[in-house]
Amino acid sequence: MRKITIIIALVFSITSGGKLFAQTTMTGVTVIGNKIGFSTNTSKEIKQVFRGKYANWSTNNQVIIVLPASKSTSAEVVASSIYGNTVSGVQKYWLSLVFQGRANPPVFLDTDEEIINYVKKTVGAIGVVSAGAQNIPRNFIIAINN
Amino acid sequence: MKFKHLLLLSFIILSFQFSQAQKSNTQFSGYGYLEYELDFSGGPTSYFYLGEHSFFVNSKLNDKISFLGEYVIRFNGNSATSFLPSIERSLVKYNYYKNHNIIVGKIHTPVNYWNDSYHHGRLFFPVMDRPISFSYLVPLHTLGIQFQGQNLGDLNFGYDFVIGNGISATDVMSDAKNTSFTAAVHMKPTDDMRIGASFYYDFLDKNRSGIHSGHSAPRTHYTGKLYTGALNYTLTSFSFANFTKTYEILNELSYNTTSTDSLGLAKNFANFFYAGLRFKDKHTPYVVIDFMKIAGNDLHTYPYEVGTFGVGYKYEFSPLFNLKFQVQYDRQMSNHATHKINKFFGSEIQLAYGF
Repeated sequence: MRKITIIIALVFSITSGGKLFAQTTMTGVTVIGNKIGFSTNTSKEIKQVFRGKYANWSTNNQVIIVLPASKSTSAEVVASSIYGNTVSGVQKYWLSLVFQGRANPPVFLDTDEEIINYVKKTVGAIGVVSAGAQNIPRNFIIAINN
Repeated sequence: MKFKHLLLLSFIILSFQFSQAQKSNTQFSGYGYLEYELDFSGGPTSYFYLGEHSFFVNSKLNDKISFLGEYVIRFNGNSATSFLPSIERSLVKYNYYKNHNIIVGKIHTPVNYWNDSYHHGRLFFPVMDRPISFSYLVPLHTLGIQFQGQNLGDLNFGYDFVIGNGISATDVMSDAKNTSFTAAVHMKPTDDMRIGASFYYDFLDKNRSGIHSGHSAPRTHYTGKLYTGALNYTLTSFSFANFTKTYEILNELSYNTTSTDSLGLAKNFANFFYAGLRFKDKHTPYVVIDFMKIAGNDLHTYPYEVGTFGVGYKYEFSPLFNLKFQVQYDRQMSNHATHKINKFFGSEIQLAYGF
């Protein structure tokens, strides 16, 4: 019986792209948001937000996703931590979603500083920067529960 | 008549929203492809082929309204320049509540995963070309109004309901007495997987195929007199798509019926299957099996059996540039009386790009 359970778990893991044993933490990044209706959330929910699941926040503000551009130094850690993918995988994901007409394109910026400044002045924006990024106003940081 | 009232109401709502429009945010991009084909049937022939080029516009008109347009230029032998432009998508989307939208304009009919996802961007195609059914059974476009919901609940449930001009219509008019109807649902139990089903209904009072319906492909397999009477048309589709970092699977099943007073109910099937194995992020060898069977009493597509088996390889230089190589064997039987079979064997290389 135990063997069967293990086999079923393995099969499910393979068919679900390995998500059964996927890491749920978001290491190496800091999530920031401007009037998005919460200051704490789960890593699962944050990942769904960055995958374009929501069009609007509970505050009725539009969701504006801000990501590091592909040449940014934080692009790789963000792609891995938030999307569980490579930088090109994230680019393909958004190219496809926007082309389908199912989401507005994210804002891609080159540096952590640009992302922080954009989020600071844009209501409804949610962005992600590397964990060591400086000068983030405390009230913009989104705490992550795992 | 009710449909026209609904359309009018939508335009009034959208006009009101336009009056509150903020600064627009517009992005332009494009997709195209180039092929080299080698055909071994009837003596080897080879040639280069310049494929359709799609120009894509996405504009955020305000927090609730966006515009999307897709304009394609493709080869057409009837044009003086050998190329003709066409509007493939042109729609305004109004996000009226959370993840629920109303869309008006020309859309790709959301009957299956392929038609809802890839449109005219060869860059996104997992294989060289569209499934066979797209030239005969699938109503590619609809001009009308769409009610759309997506990413609802934990399973990311989605729905699409469309009423609009049917298969016989053109982009500027329809003399049909009724509209077509599409109902589609899907769910995404994981980030990489989408499972969907849909039903499409249309009544063709004169069995005509308008442009862009996907039914206007030359019926070279049928040389008899065309039926011009009334015909009921349904298409039921099931899609399964699972695109992970290590493997890719797509299956599109189509069940089509046409019914006429003269020959009754005709039942037609088509199935497209694709499987690819991804490694090192850039390499994807794959197989594709595509099959369609049109019944002997069908008066819309006419009796036809066609199948394709292919193996290929895709290499992604970047998210905006890939190369595909495919070898395929095609088998066609168009004459049910003689059972004459045509066979084709060939290969293609395709460069697909975005810009």
